Amino acid sequence: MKRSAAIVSTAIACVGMLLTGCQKSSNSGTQNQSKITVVENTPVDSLDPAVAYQESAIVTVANTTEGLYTMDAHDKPQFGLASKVKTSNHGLTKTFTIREDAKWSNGDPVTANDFVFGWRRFSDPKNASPYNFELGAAGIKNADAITLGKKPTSDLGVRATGPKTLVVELDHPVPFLSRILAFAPFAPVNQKYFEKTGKKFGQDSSHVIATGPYKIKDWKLGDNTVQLVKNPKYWDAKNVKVKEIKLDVITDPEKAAIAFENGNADYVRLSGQLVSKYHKDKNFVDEISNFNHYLIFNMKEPGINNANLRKAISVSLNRKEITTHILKDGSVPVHSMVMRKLGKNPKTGKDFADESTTNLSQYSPADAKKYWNKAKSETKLRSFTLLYDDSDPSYSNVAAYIKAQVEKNLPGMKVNLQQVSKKTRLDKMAKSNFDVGISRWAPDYGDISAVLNMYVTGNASNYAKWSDPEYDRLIAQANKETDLSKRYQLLLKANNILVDSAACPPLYQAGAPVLRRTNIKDMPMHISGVPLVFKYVYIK
Amino acid sequence: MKKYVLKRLLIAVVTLFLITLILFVMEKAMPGSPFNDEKMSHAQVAALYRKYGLDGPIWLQFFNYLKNMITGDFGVSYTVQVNTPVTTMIFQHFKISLQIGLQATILGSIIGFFMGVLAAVKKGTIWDNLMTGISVLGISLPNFVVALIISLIFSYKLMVLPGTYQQTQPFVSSILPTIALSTFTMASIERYVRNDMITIMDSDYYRLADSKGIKKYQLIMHHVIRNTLISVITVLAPLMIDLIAGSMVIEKAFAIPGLGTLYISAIQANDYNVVLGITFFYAVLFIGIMLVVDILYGLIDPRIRLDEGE
Repeated sequence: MKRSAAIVSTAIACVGMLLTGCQKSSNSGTQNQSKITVVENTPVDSLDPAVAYQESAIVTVANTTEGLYTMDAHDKPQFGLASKVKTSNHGLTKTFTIREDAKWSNGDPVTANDFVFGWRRFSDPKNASPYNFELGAAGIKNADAITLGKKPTSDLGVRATGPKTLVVELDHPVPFLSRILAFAPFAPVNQKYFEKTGKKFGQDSSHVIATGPYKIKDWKLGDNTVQLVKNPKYWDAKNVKVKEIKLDVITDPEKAAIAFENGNADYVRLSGQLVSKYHKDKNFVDEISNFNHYLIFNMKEPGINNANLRKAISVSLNRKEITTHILKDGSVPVHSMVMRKLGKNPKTGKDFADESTTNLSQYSPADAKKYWNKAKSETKLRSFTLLYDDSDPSYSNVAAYIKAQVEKNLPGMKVNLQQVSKKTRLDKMAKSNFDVGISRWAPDYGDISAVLNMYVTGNASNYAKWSDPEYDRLIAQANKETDLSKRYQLLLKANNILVDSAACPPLYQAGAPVLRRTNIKDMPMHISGVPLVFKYVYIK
Repeated sequence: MKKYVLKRLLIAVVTLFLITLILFVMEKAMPGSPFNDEKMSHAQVAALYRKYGLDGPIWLQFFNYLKNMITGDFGVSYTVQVNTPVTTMIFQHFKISLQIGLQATILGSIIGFFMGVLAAVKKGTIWDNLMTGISVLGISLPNFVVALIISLIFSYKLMVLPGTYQQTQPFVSSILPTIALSTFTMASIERYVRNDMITIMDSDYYRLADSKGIKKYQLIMHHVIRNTLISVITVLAPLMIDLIAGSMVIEKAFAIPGLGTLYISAIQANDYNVVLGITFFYAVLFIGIMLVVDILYGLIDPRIRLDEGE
């Protein structure tokens, strides 16, 4: 037996050496100049604009079904299927003209009615579209009442006054309307085609038609590859440079990185653990994601709702240490509810995230001690449970760090850790069945209000159940304000009230390190809305 | 025999009913729902509950589920592949798992069989030891370790085969998973064939045939391998179910969109109907194949015909 084992191991070692000896150098990729392979980490859940939810689905829908606007490589909204817009009635009526040359991939002309039909479906509570709150955020008349089932979809503030004339009525002026309308669910739907396909609409590539720069080739639900090919019927087809975009779903970031090294992929996201391996690679791009992470305190829980305790915990955490020693993936500390790159001061151009004046999210063990001493006399709470989920492997380390810091800086306080699945965490948070939790948020449209609206009293995503009448008033006022500077100041004030309350102290904005071939140009990751837009991408 | 089959079928139906009932109740008792999401308002979640009939009492939901199930309607997916019928999803994903499972079964059993024959015929020589060594490795190394080793060599270092499943090249990208999945079958079959052949070669009738002067080649082919084949077929059935259903780890390792991958994502997403549908499907597969094997045993060897045997 000993002899046989020796022979076997020698044989395996020889084969191994032989094979590894033949190692090729890493493939340079994008050999085929007209094709880019992008790795997505979630499978496409639907191609129906009203139903699509996962990022891969949003990317696919947005790049195949263009709406009134699209986002350019500099994150600026550009006209898509609309050629012009006229504003009247104090900014409450927008009249869009649809391009004469806008066509569906089956040859049908794109009409204003396609938008009316698509948006009504989007607002229909029967479809329970996951993003239907955006209709309200866009200020479209009656949107909120319709999504709640209190009014019929025919009351939605959108109508066609001619084959190419679309009139959109708003409840209040919305300064970021063009940005929000570039999001995938605002896509038109061809009514005739929809009625023909029935229940199968959006379930595979033979039951969708395109208006955008690309169309889908051979795909059905469950496939892990989506091939997008240039749509020759697209109105601006001459300016679409890359002939084919392949979206490959690989959930494991290490596998995705290997696919990149092998030349099987040209754009992959890296996990924090992989950053140290690739940060010197020429293809490494240190992008910032749109996810802000927060601690959420349950304001319904006695003891946890003690302001001094919350403040003590918030200032006991060194956010810089979390990002540089624990996450190491390009994440940055944040001291504002709003993430970087989402909003700028209209006068000075300064980033909103840097204008937050409060220091309640700045690390200060001395202040922590001060607040903790006050809290000790006000509450008997000496332990709490920190809830977090398993959707990101780094959360365990962040939670362990928070536990260690709190127990060190707040002597006598004990932190228990509880890790659950994401669905369970959300369930517990929605039911206020938790003490303190780690949560994250990404804006769905490019405006500060996409974050701040969430903390208004009664909002379903306000898991802290935090409520402040002054905050609610400021947000309501900002949502009606047409002067951009005044609006900005109102939002900044609201932000500071929220950070000062330490109900949901911001922790960090997650990094989004990627490997992107150096010859791929104009393919940035957008901070809000559709993350990847392929129309302007080219290979140099 | 008829009575036996009927009894087994009845037990199968009761088992399936119980599996469905227990799983249904457990799913509802689990924390969270398919629609727990940061972006969803209470009104939206309520609308979705109404839309999918999840707002009624649990017994009514179960009754409706059973009623639809009998007509072959296993409901639609709530989150993983929104509004797609579960049967369509199972069919689409199972095709891929089945292909890889079958390939692995065929590859593993053919190689294992020849290794076993070689080891038995060359008993006590270096060949026997080498085959034994390989099969010990095959049985003791978990298949995900094999998967890692071969993808490191063939995909990462040599770059000759894809390390992740490519929809556009289904066969080429199934090669590595097939190899990883087949190692256990190969090793098991090798052990089985070797031992069986050695027992036969020790038997009286083999010695008699040998003493009659029949050529060694003919002896092996007609008297040994033939008898061994029957026993190989009996172990192959349960191994095959394992390969088709138990390939979740390999599917994960190679990013294969098979049934195992779908099962895991459905469980993570609380996609009730998909989890129920796949569990039911797996249960039918196991119970069905075991039933067929039992019946076949009875046909091949009347001694095994259980309750009629006495």
